[in-house]
Amino acid sequence: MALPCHVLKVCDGIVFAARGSNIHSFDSNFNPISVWKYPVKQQKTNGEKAESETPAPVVEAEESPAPEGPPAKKRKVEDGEVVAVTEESKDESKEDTAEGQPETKTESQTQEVNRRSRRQKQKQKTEGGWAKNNKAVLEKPFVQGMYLTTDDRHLVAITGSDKTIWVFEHDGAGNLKQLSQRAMPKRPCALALTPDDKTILSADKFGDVFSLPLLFTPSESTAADAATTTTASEVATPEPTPSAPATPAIPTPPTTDVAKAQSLSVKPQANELTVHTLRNLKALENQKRCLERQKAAKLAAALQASQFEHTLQLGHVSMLTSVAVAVHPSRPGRTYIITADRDEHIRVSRGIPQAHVIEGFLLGHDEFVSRVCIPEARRDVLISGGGDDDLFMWDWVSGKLLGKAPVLAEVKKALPSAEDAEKVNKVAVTRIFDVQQGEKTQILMICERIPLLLIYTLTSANTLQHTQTLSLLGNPLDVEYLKAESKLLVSIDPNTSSETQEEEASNGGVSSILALSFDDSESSWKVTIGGLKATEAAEEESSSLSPQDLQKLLYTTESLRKTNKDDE
Amino acid sequence: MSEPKNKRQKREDYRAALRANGVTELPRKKFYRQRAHANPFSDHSLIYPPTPEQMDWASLYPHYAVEEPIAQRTETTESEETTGQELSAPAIRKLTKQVEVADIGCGFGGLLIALAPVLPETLVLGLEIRVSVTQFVEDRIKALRVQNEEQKLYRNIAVLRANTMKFMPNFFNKGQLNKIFICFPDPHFKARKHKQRIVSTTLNSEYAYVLRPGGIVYTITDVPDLHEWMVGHFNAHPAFERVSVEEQEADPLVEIMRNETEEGKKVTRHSGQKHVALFRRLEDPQWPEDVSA
Repeated sequence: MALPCHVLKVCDGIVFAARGSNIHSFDSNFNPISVWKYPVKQQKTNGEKAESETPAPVVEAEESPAPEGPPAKKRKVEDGEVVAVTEESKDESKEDTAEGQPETKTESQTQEVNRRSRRQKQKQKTEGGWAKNNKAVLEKPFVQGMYLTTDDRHLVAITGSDKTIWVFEHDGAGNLKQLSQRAMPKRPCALALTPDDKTILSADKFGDVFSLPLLFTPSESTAADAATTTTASEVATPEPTPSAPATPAIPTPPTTDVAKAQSLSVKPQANELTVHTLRNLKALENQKRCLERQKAAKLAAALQASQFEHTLQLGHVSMLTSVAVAVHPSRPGRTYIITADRDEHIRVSRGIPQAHVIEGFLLGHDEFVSRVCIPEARRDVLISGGGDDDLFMWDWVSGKLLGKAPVLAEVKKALPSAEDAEKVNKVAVTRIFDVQQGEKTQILMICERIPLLLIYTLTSANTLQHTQTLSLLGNPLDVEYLKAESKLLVSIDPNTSSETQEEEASNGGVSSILALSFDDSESSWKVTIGGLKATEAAEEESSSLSPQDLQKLLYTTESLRKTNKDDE
Repeated sequence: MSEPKNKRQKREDYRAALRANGVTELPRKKFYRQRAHANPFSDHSLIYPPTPEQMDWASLYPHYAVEEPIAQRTETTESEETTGQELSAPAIRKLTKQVEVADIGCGFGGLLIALAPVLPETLVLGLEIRVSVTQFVEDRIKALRVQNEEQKLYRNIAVLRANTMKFMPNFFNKGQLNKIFICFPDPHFKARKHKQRIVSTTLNSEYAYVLRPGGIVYTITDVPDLHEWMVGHFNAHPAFERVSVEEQEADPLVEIMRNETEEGKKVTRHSGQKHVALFRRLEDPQWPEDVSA
């Protein structure tokens, strides 16, 4: 499987393209400059750590009832089998072998195995993410987003399953130098940078927005400080107090995390007075020991996490999808944070340090919001899109809906065959992007798994007018504008390309990034010769992922849509 | 497994019979029991308006509805373009006044019913995430309205099924509410469940959004840890300050909150403690640019 360049970022003649978990840089003619590779070595140590950690509680469960596992008396199997089962939980291929030999076992044992694997499946299900069970994904987290500071000196990237924010220094010629890597407590979904380029705002899957300084040096002193605060607070607050910060500010996570870890010291419900049998007493002791160990591990994890400064600014009770920092042209002194979530909300809060003040909501979406865009030339309007059939345009300071522009209808119109048009009955907007074309502000938009680029014009009367639909050769993944060359770049998933063999041959391979230029005479965008071919520079990275897994990683937006669940 | 089915059948029969009678007698709780916890992060199949303006309040408070949507009709005749849209979407009847008091997690509705005669001029809304429990309160209010028709009581209270942690701004405009009650919320003892608690630093911002400056959040719980948690989080939030104990005890609603909620009665029966804390919504701070100017 050839990996597409699924995230693009352009600065001053340099194109950064994330392919899988690596970041490539190209000049404006797509000559490769450099590649930043995701550090595999470090990942391995993480993996080892995870492996050495995971079996411990399982082995514990074998000997005596661990607090998490089911009671020991229900596990009437030989030791060897238990080990096989624990292996099974780690390795799915072994699960197959375990299930593949039931003929040799007695029926009850088979049932036992089935029951357990079912339970495991349930557990996997409740744990939610397919990513957790997917080893290939775990090995190499994909780059989920790239962001540039306004001065183009720094590139910030998020990688998915390891929840890490990376900061790179950019020398202006396409070379990246890794400055820092910070693993967030929850998976970041989108980032924004404050106008002064000093702070990163990270919007995560659990709905919180954290602020982090762009530049930081992981020093020993911070860890030591954290450690001292731990001991100090341990002495001061022996009972599990909730994070009650003394200062009347939003609590700062370095202390909160530690406090949280301490508050994890949940006491077992039973004590020596309520337990009467020797066996139960033993179990209780064991339980306490387990809790002690868990507490230590969690404290260590909390310390690990709080080694860098990150402050909770605001939060939704819903997965965040997009975050933007905005300044209204009428009040240049005021900054706002705009956050969009899966539950149809777009929230307008004040900027730091008053992010706790909610100025308003932009309400009206019926489905999830996946993207918000504030055009550079028209900072008074906000365009949002997601699972709805339309794009919404807002006067974001007053919270007024200015209008809508059809997306689904235009998609249906543009699809070549009526059959296709029939099939498509919903769209999921993945990117909204603004380009200044002389006086005109154009809004470009792509939807998930739809090989079209929709172009709208933002008129001075605050309407969005559809001006052009461009058919692409495959599913678009990202759009960027290369200002130096006045070229529009669209990255394409080559695995979905509809190019025929002949075309491929004549073009020298499937296109991975298309270049479009604006034709003034017809005032429309056209595909030009000279994009990036998928075959170039991609060989060594053709991934071991199955097509299904790759699809899951690349197309994540439609899955935000709610399926109506029955509930009581 | 015939037992549960029987139970469900009984429930359905009971509720159908109740409805057939035009809901004149008070519903019985045993036909409306539901598991005490609901996951606030799950999607459920909730019904909520996209914006507060599109909320159909008139069906909840029929006695306070504006007689006819006259204003809208004249509008539509004036502007021909919108006529089609107005016809397709049923006109939403407005209320003569807005909801100003919300009871978040109203449970079986004890507080609502106690507040109805005390705040006769105010619309009070109970919000509850559990379907059966909401249904119970709905039937209870319906019956009370019928029983007290002459005194015109209980017309100012209503209940709604909602997940306030997610959808509060879909129901209320900025600064619409005057009082919010958070009575005996789910304590969520486990540390990993703390983020499901109804009071948190980030959620407090939303309470501040729907409350007008000077508005009060009333909290009560029988769990000391949770009390500390709520006090800690509201105190830490710049938009709230704790109301002094003297002022708190002078508020007649505090006594009602202590004694009239179903949970409160239960705690009294078990002679447990009740921890009360009130918080006042402060004015928003000035913008930093205005301060420096």
